[in-house]
Amino acid sequence: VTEPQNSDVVRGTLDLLILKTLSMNPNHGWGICQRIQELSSGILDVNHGSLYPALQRLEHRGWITSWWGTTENNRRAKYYRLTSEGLSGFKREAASWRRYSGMVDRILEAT
Amino acid sequence: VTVPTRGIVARLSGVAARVRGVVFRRAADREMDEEIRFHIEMETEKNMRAGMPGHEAHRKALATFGGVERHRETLREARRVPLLEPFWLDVRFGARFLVRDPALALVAALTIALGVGATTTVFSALNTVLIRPLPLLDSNRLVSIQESRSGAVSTGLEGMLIAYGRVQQYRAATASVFESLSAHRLEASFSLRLADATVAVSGALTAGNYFRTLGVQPALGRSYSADDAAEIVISHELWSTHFARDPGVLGQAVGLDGKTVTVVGVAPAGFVGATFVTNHVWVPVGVRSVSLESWDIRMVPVGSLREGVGRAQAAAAVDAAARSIPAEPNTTVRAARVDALSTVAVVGRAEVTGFFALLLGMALLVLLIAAANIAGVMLSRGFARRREMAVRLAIGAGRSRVVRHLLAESLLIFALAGLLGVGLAYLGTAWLAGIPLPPQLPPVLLDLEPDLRVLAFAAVVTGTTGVVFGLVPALKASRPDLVPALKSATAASTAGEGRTRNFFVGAQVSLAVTLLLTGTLFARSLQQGLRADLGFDADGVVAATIDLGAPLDYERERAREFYRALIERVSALPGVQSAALSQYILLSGSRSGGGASRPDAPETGTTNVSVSSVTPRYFETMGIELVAGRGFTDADADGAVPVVVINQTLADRLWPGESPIGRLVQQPWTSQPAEVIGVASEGRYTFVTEEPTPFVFLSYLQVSRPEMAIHVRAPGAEAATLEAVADAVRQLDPNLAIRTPVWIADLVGTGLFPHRFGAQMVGAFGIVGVILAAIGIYGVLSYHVTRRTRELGVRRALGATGARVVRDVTGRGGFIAAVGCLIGMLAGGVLAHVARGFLFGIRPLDPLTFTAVPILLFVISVFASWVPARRASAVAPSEALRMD
Repeated sequence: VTEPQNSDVVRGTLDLLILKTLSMNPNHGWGICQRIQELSSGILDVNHGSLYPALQRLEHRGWITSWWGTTENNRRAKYYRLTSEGLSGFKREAASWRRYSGMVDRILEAT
Repeated sequence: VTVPTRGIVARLSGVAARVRGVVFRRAADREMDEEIRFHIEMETEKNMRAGMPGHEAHRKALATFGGVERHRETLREARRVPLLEPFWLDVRFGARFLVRDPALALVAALTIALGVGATTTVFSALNTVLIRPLPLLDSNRLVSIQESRSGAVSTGLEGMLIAYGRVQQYRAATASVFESLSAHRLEASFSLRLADATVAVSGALTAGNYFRTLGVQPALGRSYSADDAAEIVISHELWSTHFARDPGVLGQAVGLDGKTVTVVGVAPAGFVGATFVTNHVWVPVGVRSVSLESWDIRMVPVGSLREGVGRAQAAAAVDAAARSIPAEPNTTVRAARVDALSTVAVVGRAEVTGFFALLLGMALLVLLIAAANIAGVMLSRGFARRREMAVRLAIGAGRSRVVRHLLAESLLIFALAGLLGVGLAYLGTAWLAGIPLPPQLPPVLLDLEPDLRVLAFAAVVTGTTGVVFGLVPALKASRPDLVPALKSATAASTAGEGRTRNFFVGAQVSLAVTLLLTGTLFARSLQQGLRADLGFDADGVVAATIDLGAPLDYERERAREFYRALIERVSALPGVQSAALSQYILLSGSRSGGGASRPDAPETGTTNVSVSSVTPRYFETMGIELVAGRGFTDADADGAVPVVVINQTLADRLWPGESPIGRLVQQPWTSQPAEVIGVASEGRYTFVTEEPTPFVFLSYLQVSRPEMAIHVRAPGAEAATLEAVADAVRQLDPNLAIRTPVWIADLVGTGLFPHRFGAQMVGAFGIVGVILAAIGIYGVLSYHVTRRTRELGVRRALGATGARVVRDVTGRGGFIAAVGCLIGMLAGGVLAHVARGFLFGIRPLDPLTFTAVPILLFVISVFASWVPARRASAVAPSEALRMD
């Protein structure tokens, strides 16, 4: 299965986006997808299914935890939120991403 | 500091998530499906809101998700934990079998739980007494100093202590290794006069720097800091019970043994000092001792090591210092060492360790018997399931897989047993804590409740036993002869399976014999101790100690006058037959000793003797028989020829075959050799269980001591007499109180406390062991008989009588039991030799014990095999032949 290049978010970046979303609010899987699309103004089109292995990976790392809750429409859904370890991990990764992307920007803009 | 903790918490929550995924695999699958369904539904609804028809919306949602089945597989794959999953499968498999036969699983678990409970209870006590650090103290940094001395030294508690004058010398000489060197001395009773009452409390005399050395801040107020401050620190408990937790207690004046002192601090709750005794007051040593440089107050030195100084370095410095500083008069210090502070820091650490090691060994034997018992059962089950095993092997299950399943079954039983066993250990420690301690001991603080270390111990012991004893039957059962096993589920037993089972039964019998032998030896020791010829008549004699030394510091003549008046008053009391003084109370564990020799025959060498200074009528009061010569009289006083009464043991050593009366004996207590005027019959002096000890009685009027014990023979009026003695002492000097009043007969029981305790514990273990072994034999032979019913039936049909069948089966059990008994006797003999220090009055290979116990076990074993044999012979041949 080939997917459009612009929507193929690399694994590490997907983790970072999930953490960012959860750092604002606990949310369920579908909600996280929506948030990521919203925030990227629909440019980043995450392959929805690949979100779940990422969530499971983060949970096994202890960065997020999950529980079953109910949505506003009274539907049962599995919610995720950051642990304190996850929050500090997110900050570390975000900082290193900024350094990295800043560096790439500088190189691309070099004349 | 918080970050690593958070890291651990995060890792744990991650691990928990993984374990959940494996253990509750189906639930995890369900949750995953539900989550994906929810996602698709939400996405579909979103698409419909965007105007798509329902069918199209759903298709689009699935497409955006990108292959539901593929993602489900990825998720499932990622949930797998490499080692955990197969293990968990085995556990589930094992559990399914156990649930099929819950009664067997429960009985097996209970049996092993007995062993786990016994082991854990003993370890719990050992942990409390020997391992667990003292509350509130930094046990890595704190050590005590002990010396080994020769010369005129006391043994027992007093002999372990070091004169405070010498502690101060140590302090100066070891400043390079100790940041601070302090000392303490436990006092069973201080008389504390409060505003509304006078109470007797236990406490410690300490050097001024005690709290600073221990690194403990009072919870309220401050500590005293000088050796001679008239200040005390009280315990949190005393503050709660007698001062209603009033902070105004600080600065209050209270009376302490007739002196006025100020309360300056309240110790933290739970603080007991560097001991295991419940203390209520901490008192600067100067309150008791006037001259702090003198030898009259003996204490335990406790030091805190300097940063970076190890225990070995401190030990070397202390040992060097011990030789360079002045020793007490008439003593030589051979060596000094440092010891970790623990509950048993001062006295008898080696003995206590040995005692507990022995008990722990006994408890482990119980566990081994139980484990062998269950291994035998599992083995039988394994053979009963031969066909199942054979089928599984034949259809290609790997042998290791089959072994793992069977092992998992055993481990599950052991895990259940571990839990039950820890529960039993809680009961066991509660029972232990309820055993009354000898009244002479200060109030001992023993929190026996199992802690994490105990639980870890229980887990390790149970786990190890489970693996070892689970593996054998599993390996055996997984190797059936495929062809015959597949042909019939009840094929005739093969020789191999019988051997392993016989081994387990034999092992149980031999372990049970070992246990019961040891238990019986303890019981016999106790019996011998209770019957021992003490050399005196303890019944009807009471005693109490009176100290005219510091702080009252009676002059020698005044002390003699005091004691003379006291004896006069006490002798006149109703019911009193006679009264006398002695430096030591017999069997109290205190003693002093030195070397005695013949000045006329130096070649006979020096004999170590114990000594006590006594007044006239002492022998009469104690009922000690003089086999030759006379006792002391008032004429044996200063100025007269120094005289001694020696015991028969010393007489036999120094003058074998001769009369010692009128001969001279050289010893450290009189300036010139003393004349032997009498010989006392042999007896027990310091401990009930001691070997025959050479003993020298001195005349109090020649060798006076400030601290003496008054002994009164008043049969039938003991309690009243003790009260009257206390009154008489108070009337003679209002500042004085008697200490440690005792009934001498009680001391006999106290001295036998370890034997009684050991006999109870090991006896209980022995009985459990025997019952388990009997059940084991019965079980295995029943199974054997059932398996052979058909064969036996054939033999009956061919003319064998019922009696013949019974004889055969019983004989088989008897043979195993006989071999087990022999091995058990060997092991028991070795163990008795190791434990001979705890035995008394009997030889380690006590013939009665070593005959009776194996015979008893043999008879029980034969009976246990006779019951199933009878059953087998009762089956009619026709019926037996029709089976299978």
